Amino acid sequence: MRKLRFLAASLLLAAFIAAGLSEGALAQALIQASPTRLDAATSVAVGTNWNTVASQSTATATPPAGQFVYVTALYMSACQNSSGSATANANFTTTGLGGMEFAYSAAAAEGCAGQPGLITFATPQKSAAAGTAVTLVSPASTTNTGYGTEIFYYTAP
Amino acid sequence: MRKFLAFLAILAALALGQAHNAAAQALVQQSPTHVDAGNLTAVGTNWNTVNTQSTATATAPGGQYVYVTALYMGACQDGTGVAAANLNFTTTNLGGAEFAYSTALSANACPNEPGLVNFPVPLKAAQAGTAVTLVSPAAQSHIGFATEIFYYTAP
Repeated sequence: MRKLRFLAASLLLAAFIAAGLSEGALAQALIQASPTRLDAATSVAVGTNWNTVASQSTATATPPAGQFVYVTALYMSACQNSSGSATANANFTTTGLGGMEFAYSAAAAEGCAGQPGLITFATPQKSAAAGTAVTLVSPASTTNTGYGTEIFYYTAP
Repeated sequence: MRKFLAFLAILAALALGQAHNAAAQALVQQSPTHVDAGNLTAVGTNWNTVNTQSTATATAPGGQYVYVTALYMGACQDGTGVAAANLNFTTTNLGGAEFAYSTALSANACPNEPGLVNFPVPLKAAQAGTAVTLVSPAAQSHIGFATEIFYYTAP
């Protein structure tokens, strides 16, 4: 009889412990906070001559020695003033990214028609060589168009 | 014999309990928590109101950063409309990120507004514990600007 009581008490204790653990796990899931994201874009290289007509824009992302540039997004704007300038088959080009480029054409009209805008990479684009800058270069200077270039990135080995 | 029968009864009760738990887990299963979802939205001031400037402000608790998952920039003209040349939406605490905007006079329309720009890989603020802001161009007589920051905060 004593053995049976001991067995029942042990089973009761085990059941209480199991129930407690189960409830604890549920509580942890509910209060979990957002973690540090180590591959977030922590830097932005803003191009020269931002949105200024009759000038070329170049953005430069420079990594520390031994590290690569990981590009998470590129932004390319081309906004015309009230005079406007037509542009045919021009390109935004890059260096340090395997020759990647983006096309642009626009009729003469005040506005930003035809600009590539924000290009995002769900998986970051890694630069070709460690310690070497990545650049994004707008088409050559156009009389009544203001170009903007921007590189969103982080650096890592 | 009585001990053996009692032991069997306890085993049976435990087995029934386990079966019930397993079934309950299957029935109440939920989608998992997405801990880096954009769970906060900072809506700009003077939302889509002509002749005003709009500023959205995303604040972070002390020691935490703002992680931007998307930005929204609206620019809608009223029935009169007005042209705007080479203006910019600017930010603070995001490495100087900005977005360009020009438009012809287009009454009752929103041409060339940057709209929603998504960051599949979030954009992390430069300084912890410091707000991120998104600021529209200065007030334009017949354009209503709108700014919005979608984000979460984390170390």
